[in-house]
Amino acid sequence: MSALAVFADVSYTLQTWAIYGSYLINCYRSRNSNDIFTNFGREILDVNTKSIFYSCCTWLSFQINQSYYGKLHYIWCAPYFDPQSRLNPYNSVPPTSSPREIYWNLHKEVQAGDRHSAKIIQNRAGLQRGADIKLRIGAITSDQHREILEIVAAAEPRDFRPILYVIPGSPVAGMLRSVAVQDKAHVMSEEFIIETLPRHLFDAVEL
Amino acid sequence: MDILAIVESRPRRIAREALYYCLRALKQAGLPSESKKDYFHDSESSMPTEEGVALANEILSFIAFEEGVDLDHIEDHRIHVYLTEIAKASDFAASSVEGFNVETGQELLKRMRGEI
Repeated sequence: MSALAVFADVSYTLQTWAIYGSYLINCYRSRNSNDIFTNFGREILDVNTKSIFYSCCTWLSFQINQSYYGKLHYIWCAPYFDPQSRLNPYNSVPPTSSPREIYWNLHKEVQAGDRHSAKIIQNRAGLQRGADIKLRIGAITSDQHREILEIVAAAEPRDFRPILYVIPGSPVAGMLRSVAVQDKAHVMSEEFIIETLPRHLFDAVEL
Repeated sequence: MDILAIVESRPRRIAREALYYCLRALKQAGLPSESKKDYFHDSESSMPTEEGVALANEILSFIAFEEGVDLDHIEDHRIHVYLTEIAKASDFAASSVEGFNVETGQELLKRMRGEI
């Protein structure tokens, strides 16, 4: 394991304990000792503790990454599948970034088959933008760039069906980059970007 | 005037970049500040260009002017109208790449799906 990976792993662990700490302080401030002990047993000691990251992508995105970008995947991820679940530690991942919410909301829109659904529009634009960036940095040729734009233009709603990526934490610890937030006061963001995630470091799952 | 009219005379790459930022901004309209991402910045490999940011700001100002309120106070159904407009403009900007042929895309997709 590289020094950078060790540092990222330690940094993540410290961040997690900082969140636990703030949770305990909040319980103490509430002056409700029952909460402290009940929640300590139920929600802190027995919560999920594995370092696993989750990301929701689309079938089309998966295929384009596999075919054109050397099986390297650009993803946004969070350390919880369902951040709101009581089985996870108290955390700062908003519902809009919950892999579970993203997966099922996209699934619903794809099932409806509406080519102009908001999520499909956003995904289509994201793939176009990704192709532009790959061309700019020289990762693909102009012919490949055009092909990707042609594929994205021809794609049907079913091609945007969701796929869940399940990513063991240790091998990717050095690849995680924090997501830039508008409000810089929220420094405890637990959302990350991995720019080039190799296919062999994650499982792809359809629920 | 609509969004397509704003971008059609601009370089296509800049137009696609700006429209992507606008989609991200509209997607977050009305969310609490702690949930909002910086819609211009993703990662080091995708740093925004000055022209892309300027055009995105121009489009977002146009939307706010048309609605008479800032982005956070636009009603959901109006947001969807603009998303659709942006999608139309974005498809136009993509399809104007030299040699673009959507039928080629359909063939490539069939191969990806394992249909041929």
